[in-house]
Amino acid sequence: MELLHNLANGFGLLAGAPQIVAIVIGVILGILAGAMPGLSPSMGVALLVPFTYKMDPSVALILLASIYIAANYGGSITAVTINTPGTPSAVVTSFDGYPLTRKGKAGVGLGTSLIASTVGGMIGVIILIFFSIPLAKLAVKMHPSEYFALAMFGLTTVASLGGKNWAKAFVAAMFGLLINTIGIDPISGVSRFTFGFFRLYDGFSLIPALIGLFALSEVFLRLEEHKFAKKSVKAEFKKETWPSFRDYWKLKWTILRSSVIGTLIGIFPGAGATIAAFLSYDVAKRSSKHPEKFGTGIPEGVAASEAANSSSVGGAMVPLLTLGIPGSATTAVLIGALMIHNLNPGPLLFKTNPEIVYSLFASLLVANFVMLVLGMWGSKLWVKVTAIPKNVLYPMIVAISIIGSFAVNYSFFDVASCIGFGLIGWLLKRYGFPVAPIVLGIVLGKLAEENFRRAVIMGGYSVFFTRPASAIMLLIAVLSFSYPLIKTYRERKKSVK
Amino acid sequence: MKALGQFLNTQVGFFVAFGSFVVFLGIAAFIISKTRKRRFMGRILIPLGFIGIAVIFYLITLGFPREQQVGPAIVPQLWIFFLVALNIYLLIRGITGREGEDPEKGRIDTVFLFLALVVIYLVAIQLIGYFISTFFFIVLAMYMLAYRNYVVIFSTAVGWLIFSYFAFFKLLFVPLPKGLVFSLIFG
Repeated sequence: MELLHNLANGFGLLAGAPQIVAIVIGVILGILAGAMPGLSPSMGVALLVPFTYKMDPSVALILLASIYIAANYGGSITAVTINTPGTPSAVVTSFDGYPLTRKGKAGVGLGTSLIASTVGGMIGVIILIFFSIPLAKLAVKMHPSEYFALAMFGLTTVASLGGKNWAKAFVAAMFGLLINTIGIDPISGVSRFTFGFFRLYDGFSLIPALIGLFALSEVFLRLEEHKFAKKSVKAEFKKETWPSFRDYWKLKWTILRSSVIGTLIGIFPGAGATIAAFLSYDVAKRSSKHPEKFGTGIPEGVAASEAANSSSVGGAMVPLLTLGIPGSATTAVLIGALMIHNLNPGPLLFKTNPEIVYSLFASLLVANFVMLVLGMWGSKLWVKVTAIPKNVLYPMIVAISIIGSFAVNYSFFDVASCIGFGLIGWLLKRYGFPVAPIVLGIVLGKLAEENFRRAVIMGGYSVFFTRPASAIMLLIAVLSFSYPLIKTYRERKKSVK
Repeated sequence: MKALGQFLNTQVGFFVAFGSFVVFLGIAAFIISKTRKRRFMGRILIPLGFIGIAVIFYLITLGFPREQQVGPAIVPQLWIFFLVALNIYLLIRGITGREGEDPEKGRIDTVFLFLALVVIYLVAIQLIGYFISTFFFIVLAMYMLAYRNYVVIFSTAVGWLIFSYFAFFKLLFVPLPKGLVFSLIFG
């Protein structure tokens, strides 16, 4: 009852103009930051923190949280329309989002991503409001062996991503894992595979690799396929088909399941929206009556990814607010913002400043609604991108990719690595290798390696099997990895007979 | 072997490793082109390429210190093991033709020409700055791809420059390069 009373007070505190303006501006900036390759939700929040110094603490927090929520949705816009994910988690959205655009159904992709993001975001916040304290206790108890098992479980999604090309998908994942080891080893301080180049001490940045593997490789592939005619091609703005309420209703179980998965994954510090998106996509595919259609352009694929990556925001806020432990890169920035305003995140925050916490909860729900409204209006604009002639679009994608890669660290090394990854992606795609597992390998590599080594140092190699949670997750991972291989082997045997 | 590993992890070692890798793939391509397997060239060279990279990385791990229980070499070696095993499987499938023939070559010349333009663009950014080089890149790239509506070409280029000035330079404080030439002239 006290919780509901505090929540009602929280909504009451949103009645003022500064709070509403903060939500609207936060959502607009968040969508733009998420959509732009090279900018991430954490960067968007970090850039706005200095502007909040003079603001009321609750307004500042509302503004920054709104950016965080909207940026996760924003990444799907460019993922669906031009196969250039604006955020790492939107990589998974592009699996089905971009094929939908290629089929002439960009409206279906954009509409589905918006609704799934909104519903997923709201479910994540509801779980945050009602279950934050018990879930935080669970998150803190995670042993490094369990984090490693979670990472391995995440990697097994590669098996279903690859389908019949499972071996190529795993090669791509191993390649991504190996690339992730380039740089200074965080545990021993040894310089690994840096070849004496100081630029490689931090390894390859994720965003330039992502842009290269997805955007540039796609441009190179299409340039190879397409014969450009000299006559001027006009943009054809055809009437776009948008999903109806019935179409969205058919996705209810996918969105609900993915939202819960996304929130739970988001709770674990370091796990993040990208892993949440991959895992929920994999679960959606395995649960579907038509798993073979995933990756060809179906709304379920978009819904699973977007619901998970948006709901992970609520999950990431759980350890932040209850324990003062950031659940993601963006919440790490939010901790800084809270401290600037003399707020100490942790269990006492609920007691000393309940109005701040509950107005934040209320604003997260309202921000999702504002995102829905602005997204519906904006989608009619974003969809026009698909009508742009290819010989205008491709140079613009390259221009965006270059400035996006440069903006990460203001470094031409990042731009060069973006182009390098673009060439690698093009070559691999020509021969049937999926590039998404490379991204998964790069994202999971650090989580897997650091926790593997910490677990062994703490308890020896047997710790992975003596801790029940770790043993169960590893067993599920092995079964999850083996199932598609056994299925492929059986199908082949059947076809031979 | 430790000394070899440490040598390969240096700048000179990089060029030796890269050169060896290119020679290895070149010899493999030459041998394949003289056999009936030449229509599977790409399907054989790609797994060989991954195996080559894995071998180089493995040799480098031999130069890492081994005093700790779980040292810096363990996990990379684990990934290398799986990478090699999977690529041996793909190599066998490639040689036996089970992966199918290589895809038909499309307009590879367009891709390389476009890539050359991108590289020139990157060099130009550092010499004459972001704005001038980006304008010429967008105009030339669209022209190269046979687009001839000059109003759209120039307005797109100018529009993008205005957007990147306000969004990246003014709002996000991204220091877009002025270029060596302008820095020398104007300081």
